Amino acid sequence: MEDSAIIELYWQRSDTAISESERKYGRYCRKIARNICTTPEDAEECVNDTWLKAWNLMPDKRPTVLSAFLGSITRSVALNLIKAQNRLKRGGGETTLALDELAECVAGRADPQREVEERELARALGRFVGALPREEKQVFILRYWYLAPVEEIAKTLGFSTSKTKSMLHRTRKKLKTFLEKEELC
Amino acid sequence: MLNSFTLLQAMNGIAARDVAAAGRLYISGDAKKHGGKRLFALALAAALLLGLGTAAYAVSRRIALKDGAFIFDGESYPTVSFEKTDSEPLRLGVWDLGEIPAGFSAVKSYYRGSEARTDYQNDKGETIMLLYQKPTGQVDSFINAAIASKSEVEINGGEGVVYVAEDGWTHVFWTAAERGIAMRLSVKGDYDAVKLAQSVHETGTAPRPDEETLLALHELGSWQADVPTGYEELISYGVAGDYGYIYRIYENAAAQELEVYYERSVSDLEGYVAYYRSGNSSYGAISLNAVTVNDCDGWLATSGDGEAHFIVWQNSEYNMTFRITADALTSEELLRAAQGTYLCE
Repeated sequence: MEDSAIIELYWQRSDTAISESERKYGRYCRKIARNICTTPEDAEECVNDTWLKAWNLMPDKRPTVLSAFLGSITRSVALNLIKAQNRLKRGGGETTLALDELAECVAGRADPQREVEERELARALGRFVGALPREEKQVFILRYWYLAPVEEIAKTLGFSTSKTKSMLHRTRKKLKTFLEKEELC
Repeated sequence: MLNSFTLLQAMNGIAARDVAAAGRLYISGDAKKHGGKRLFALALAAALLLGLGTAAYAVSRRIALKDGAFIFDGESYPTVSFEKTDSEPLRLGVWDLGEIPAGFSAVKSYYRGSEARTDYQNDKGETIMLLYQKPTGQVDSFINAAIASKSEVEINGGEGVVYVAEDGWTHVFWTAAERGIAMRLSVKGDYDAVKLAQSVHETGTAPRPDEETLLALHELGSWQADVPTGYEELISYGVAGDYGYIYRIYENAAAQELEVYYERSVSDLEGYVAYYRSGNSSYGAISLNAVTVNDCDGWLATSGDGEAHFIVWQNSEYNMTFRITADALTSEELLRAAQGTYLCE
């Protein structure tokens, strides 16, 4: 079923919306959840929560890109779950590694008095990533949005692992500069 | 204080289109040279309850309007389909209501190259939905509402059908015969749906950019390339701010894409192309040949067999970096498109 039809079903409060979402995007959301969660059971719970949250969000929301909308919900649910489980530093898989990598972007001239609003930060990140060259953008999104292992990214895009790591390193350096310039860290 | 977890969470601010594009590569393994077409074959949502197994065709010049049934979990949902019977139209165009009932205004819209939709609402929450698309293949859908009546109509020379649903909605489906566009208008309440449908007309070739894109165009300027004959602009979008950029997407009748991208220069040209020179890009090994574009330094990227991929140059006067990427242009055509780039007033 096409995306607009699935969205229409959500708006009409039809149960079919959930089964159609599962049918079309279950694999997609499961992949995201499994990259973040520590156990398959947790990942499954996150995917099920995704359909429920999508059900609650539509209406009023009418997503322009349904896959990203559902994936974004899965991602948030999974990140919140492992945060609640306090597993960030205790075997959070790719999440732990990604957090370690991103730590270099937020270290530096930090002002402990300043609470960065996540929405402001999200908007800034949208601008930053949007301006990256296409391949650099793809690598960055696969690593820090999908939490994909570096090896999988390299395989997906046809790069060597070392090149992928090198690209990520360069982009993180750019991100650090960007965040400092924006006074977000 | 910002921590890495907050940063990770805030990645949700990355544009949905970029996330979806990367996801298509990652989840499906469907790696594509140009990042995927922006043409999405999206269904028209229909509201139908028809006799099972019946089929009635109303053939227009280019597409067929067809009744049918969709079976899901043992239940049958009546459908209306638009089936392409001839070559699809080159462009979707922009369509709008000619007569908008008093009190209604457009509240939501989207435009995706092959499908567009606008919702109008009034203070009472009554809605008129106009949805139109290029029939890139069979498209059909359904809703859970019984249909009270069905009648055939002619809408501006195109075959059409009207369904009145028991939930108060009226749905008109028709084909804009001359343009080969599949149309749908749905309205709830005491409004003449057929009259509204008859007022729908084409108002332009490309959608008005959204607010963010307009701001980016204001900041960066509206630059146009000299695209070859046969290419139509599908959509422009951009992001404003320090790292702002603009994309303009064009397509020809053979669905070959041309993309014009520009941004404020964030590095020197050597630094910009170093990434491609390293072989890191999805183009793989390419040759970069120095070119001059209107007295500005640039590089033309070609593959080993001479196929042109993109041209990039920097205009120091405007501190702007441009890139034109094309599926099927020769080096000469790319260079011509680049040299014809101009700033619209």
